[in-house]
Amino acid sequence: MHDSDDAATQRYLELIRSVHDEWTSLEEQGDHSVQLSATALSTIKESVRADVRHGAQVQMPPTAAGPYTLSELALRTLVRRAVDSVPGVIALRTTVEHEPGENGLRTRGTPARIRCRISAPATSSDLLQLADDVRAAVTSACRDQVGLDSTVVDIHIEDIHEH
Amino acid sequence: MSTETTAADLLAVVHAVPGVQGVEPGITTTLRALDARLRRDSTSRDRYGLHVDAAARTVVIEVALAPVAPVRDIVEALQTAVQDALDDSDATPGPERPWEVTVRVQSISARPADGGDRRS
Repeated sequence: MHDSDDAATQRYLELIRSVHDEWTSLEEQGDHSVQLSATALSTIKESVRADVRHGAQVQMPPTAAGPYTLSELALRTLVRRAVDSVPGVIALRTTVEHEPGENGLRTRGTPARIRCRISAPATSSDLLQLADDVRAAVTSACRDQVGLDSTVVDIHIEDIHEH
Repeated sequence: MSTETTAADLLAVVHAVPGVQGVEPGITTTLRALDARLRRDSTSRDRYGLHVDAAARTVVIEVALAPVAPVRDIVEALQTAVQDALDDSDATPGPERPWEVTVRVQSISARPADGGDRRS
């Protein structure tokens, strides 16, 4: 599912680049009119699909240069990468609880709690330590990647797999 | 005399920031960009994934990132690059409040980027 999200995103990015190149070329010729080519029309449909993929926008602590958000998809990608970085561990499902948001139906506040469901390798002799390792990886990723330093991380070992 | 930065110029600035894979629009900027073209608004600097409000001095950019650096660092570099591009082109000299650049990170590639400018 994650690979298919990535592939769908890459196709979407190529489509957008193509339309922008088309519009730039037309504008350089002095043409600002509507260009409802098949490609441009496709972007409407694809943007709807992309919006479903992205989910809501999640507020992040602002940078020194201004505010920013992560989509729910991007946040899950970050967390999943952190979980998968622990040898033998497989990320399953991630859920997030949020602080109250500022405004907007599709805006969530900063993450207050992240719950990671994982599958642990059957060879692991200390599941408690493994969970702590995963928690540390996710906490570090939140801090180092996006500046979140007070998010609580819960780990739930849902499955055991043969490595 | 300064020249206003065009939408194409801003997109070039966005794409030139290391770690930015491309603009990745949501529905709102898609509809805004189409609306501007339907109304034949040649002054609009809206594009898919890019919305410039000159009156409010705000910009919204929606992007896909590659994990070449911490997300926060890429975002800050992008905000600074766009602010500089807009400040350099401000037609009216004199003190103005700074441009507020909001970045929406829509996706992060699962794999590191190949590197280099991805703009075709």
